[in-house]
Amino acid sequence: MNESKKNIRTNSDAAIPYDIPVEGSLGLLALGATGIKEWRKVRNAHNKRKLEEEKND
Amino acid sequence: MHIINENWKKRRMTESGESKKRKVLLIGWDAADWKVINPLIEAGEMPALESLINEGVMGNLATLEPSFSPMLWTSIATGKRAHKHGILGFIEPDSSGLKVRPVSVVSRKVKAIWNILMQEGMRVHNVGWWPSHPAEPLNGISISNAYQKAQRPLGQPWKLARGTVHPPKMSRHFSSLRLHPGELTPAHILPFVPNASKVDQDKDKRLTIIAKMLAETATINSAGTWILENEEWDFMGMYFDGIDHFCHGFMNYHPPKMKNVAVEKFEIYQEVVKGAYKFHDMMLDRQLKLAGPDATVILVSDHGFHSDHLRPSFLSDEPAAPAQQHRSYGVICMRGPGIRKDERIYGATLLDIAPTILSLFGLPVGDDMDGRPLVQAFEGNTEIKRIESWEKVEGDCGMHPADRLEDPYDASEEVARLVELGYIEEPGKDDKKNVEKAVFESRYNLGRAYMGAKMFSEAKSIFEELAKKASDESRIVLRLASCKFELREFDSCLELIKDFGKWLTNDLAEHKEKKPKEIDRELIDDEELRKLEEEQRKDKLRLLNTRKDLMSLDLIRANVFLKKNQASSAMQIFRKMLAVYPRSKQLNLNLGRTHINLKNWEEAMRAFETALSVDPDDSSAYHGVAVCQLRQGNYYEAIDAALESIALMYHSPFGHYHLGEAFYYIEEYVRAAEAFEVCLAINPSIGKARNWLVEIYEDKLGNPEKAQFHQDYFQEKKLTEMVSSDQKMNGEEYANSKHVDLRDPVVVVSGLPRSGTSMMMQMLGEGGVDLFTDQERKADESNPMGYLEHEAAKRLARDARWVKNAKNKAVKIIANLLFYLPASNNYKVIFMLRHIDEVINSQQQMLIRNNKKGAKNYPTDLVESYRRTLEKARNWAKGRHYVDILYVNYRDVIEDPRKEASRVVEFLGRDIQVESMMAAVDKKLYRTKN
Repeated sequence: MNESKKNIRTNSDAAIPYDIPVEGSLGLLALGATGIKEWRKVRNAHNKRKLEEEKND
Repeated sequence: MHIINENWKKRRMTESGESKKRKVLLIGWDAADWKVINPLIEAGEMPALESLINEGVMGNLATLEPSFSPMLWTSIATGKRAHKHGILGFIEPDSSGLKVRPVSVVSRKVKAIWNILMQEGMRVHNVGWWPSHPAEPLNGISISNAYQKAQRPLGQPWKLARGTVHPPKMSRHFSSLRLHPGELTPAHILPFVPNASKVDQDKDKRLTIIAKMLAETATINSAGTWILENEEWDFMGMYFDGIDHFCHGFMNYHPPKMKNVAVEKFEIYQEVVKGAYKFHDMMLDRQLKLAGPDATVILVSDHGFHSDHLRPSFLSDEPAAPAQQHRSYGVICMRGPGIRKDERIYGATLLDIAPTILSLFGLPVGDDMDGRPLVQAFEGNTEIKRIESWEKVEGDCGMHPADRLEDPYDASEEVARLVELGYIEEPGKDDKKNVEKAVFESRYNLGRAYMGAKMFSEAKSIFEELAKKASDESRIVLRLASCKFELREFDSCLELIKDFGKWLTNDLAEHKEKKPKEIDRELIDDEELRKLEEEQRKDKLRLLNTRKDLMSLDLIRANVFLKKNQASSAMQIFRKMLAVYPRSKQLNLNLGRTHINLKNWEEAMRAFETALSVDPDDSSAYHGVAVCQLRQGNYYEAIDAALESIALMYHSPFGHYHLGEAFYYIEEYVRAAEAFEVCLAINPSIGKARNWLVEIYEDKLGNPEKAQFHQDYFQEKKLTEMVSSDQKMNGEEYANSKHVDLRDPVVVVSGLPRSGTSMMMQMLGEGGVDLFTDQERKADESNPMGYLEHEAAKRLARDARWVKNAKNKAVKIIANLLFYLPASNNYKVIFMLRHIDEVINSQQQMLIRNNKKGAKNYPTDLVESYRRTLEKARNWAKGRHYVDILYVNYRDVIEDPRKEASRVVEFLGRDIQVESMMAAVDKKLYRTKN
């Protein structure tokens, strides 16, 4: 499964890297708006790539 | 604008002129319960909550009756009970009055904490509170409880209902932050259901339900975290209904396995509840980080949720029955600047949250709020300011205008969810009936809220009104009977119980006769089979509920007997019921109280211990143990049990009262005084605690000022402030108002000499009352039936130690000595009245008969002196809670002995023979007439 890493900011910590798997995770949902947005970006990019691959095939 | 606003602004500025900000994040986890949380924390599976606890305070949060979440969360937000705030259930008629809709924030009649804070110049946000639709026009962002619900499948338009987001221009943005259940993948579901692959999803829809609950929870978190990251805030409220929903759906699969749950289902779904808690902890971690270390974070739940052997095996058939799975204690944790660290707090109720937040901001608490600030959680001394009411403070507070017209919105999904959770019945097609039903339920809930506030008279009126419409509904009749009981309308209560019990018994008999239909599974199709099975299940449930209702009626009946001092009749009922339900907690508690009433300490202990073996968290059972230990002289054990009881239910004044008594007996007078003071802080009407304090401050701690303060309380007739109903706990009663039962009273027959006191003593003796007399003074011509006195009574002014030996006996004490009766006992005084001229003449006759000096002169000075004595006696009785007095006219007794004897019997509340009493009245002895 494709996966991405992204630095996600919190108020008290420095930005720390989070794994962003295409299928998502509870951890990303728990991160709230940022986690959902970043997951959607990775998921949409993955879906787009797949679609293009299918087209090319 | 109120002056507070200006003061607040000044207070917030530091010397350098910079704003010193207090920030409060209030997080609501519906139904969160320590019983589930504690093992998870011990296993290291809720690290965020663990850090919150370690950095602050934690404790139980007592819920309110009825434990319906929209009512409770509104009480949390307002600090007021439901009869004040106006939210009365799950659904309500819409503004046209023609249809029903989910309960809306427009029905809230008072300001929530965020409205008050906004009015005081703070920037406030609120996400998802229940109820909060339509979103209030706050100065920050306001997102209503209609936000997270997905009405259509993924891919179809998912519109936000109008009024969901304020300001409306932010609607598009927040719409995009929602998470649709259809987006979720196995990565999200498997942590809840590791064996999800075993689920036959054609027949079992539970995985879809989990996805829905998870998406809704994550959606609230999404909006909340966005605000915390991107907006300025002084106050932020976030409400999550996820734990409650997961628990209602899956608590029956939570370990240990319940008998009636199939093994394969248990194995599939046993991790769901744990998963829900763990996910909430992950979200909390993020929220805490975004809030930052300078914010005060308060996490609360509105009630708990039974997770162990106390999970009900069946629910009653009344609306909102799933609330029977709720436990009486929710959770509270608080951390932040000025909050104590790693400590436990006691006695918090959900009414205390709004007053606590006001105090954290240095704002006054409304006198019309029902809660109080949790000062025990604060470091140092915090000055608590008061204000009559925040409702009178003018200014923009972000509430909807009173005449706001509703935006029509499709609430069908929300209603469907409430039906799914079992909180409401499926609305029928008849809108009119639905509206009538919604109004009926809200009246019923209001009645229950009144009962929770101990406003039994108001509650009774409502249940009477409802009983006219639904005389066959047990829930209404039982509560009406309870109100009558609390209001001491015993005869009417018994009559109601008798009639309804007869009706229920007939119903039960009909059920027993009705044989279940034989089902030939070969001959009917699946749908028909399902219907028949459902019918049989309902029949069985009804039978169980009818039995339960009969038991509840018997419990009330037995308690009426206890109140009427007929403990043996009560005991008979309990024994009969215990034969059927030996492990019933309620029954054992009642049995224990009855044994206390009969002074059977050991048997009482056994009953309370049985109750504790069923529910080790029952505060009243611990309190019962404390009373038993105390009365047996085991003071240290009594202290332990009383402390256990207080830890579970801080607000019960009698836990503190008995703790005070136990400390007194081990000569820990400072602690005893503290305990009695707390008792009075909770309920100022418990005069007996005040008596203890008078004695402790005066005799033991050398603090006459404080003793005088409590003494003055009576003298200044503050009794008028006292509650009208008597207080009862575990069989020991304390009267607050006149003409009520006093526990173990000394029956005092008093009056001026020759006013008929000996005759009254004679009557009581004939009626069966034990007389406290030494027969030292023999009968003579003046009193041929005997004086029935005790020499000790004549020495009362010098020595009152003997008085406790006269408990439950009758003793004669002349009016002039009444004032020396010690406050540590209760007294039922029968005060004989006779015309003063007759009294003096009779005394003169007596002196003549005894050849005494002064017999020849009429003592004119005595007339005024006697008048003063009578007045003084009357005032003495009026100002003391431990004295109940009945005035009996001597001439009335002579003229109508039956009537007067009956009055005495009623006053004493004992089983005394009126006929026998009458026999003691000898009209011939009425020799001196005016």
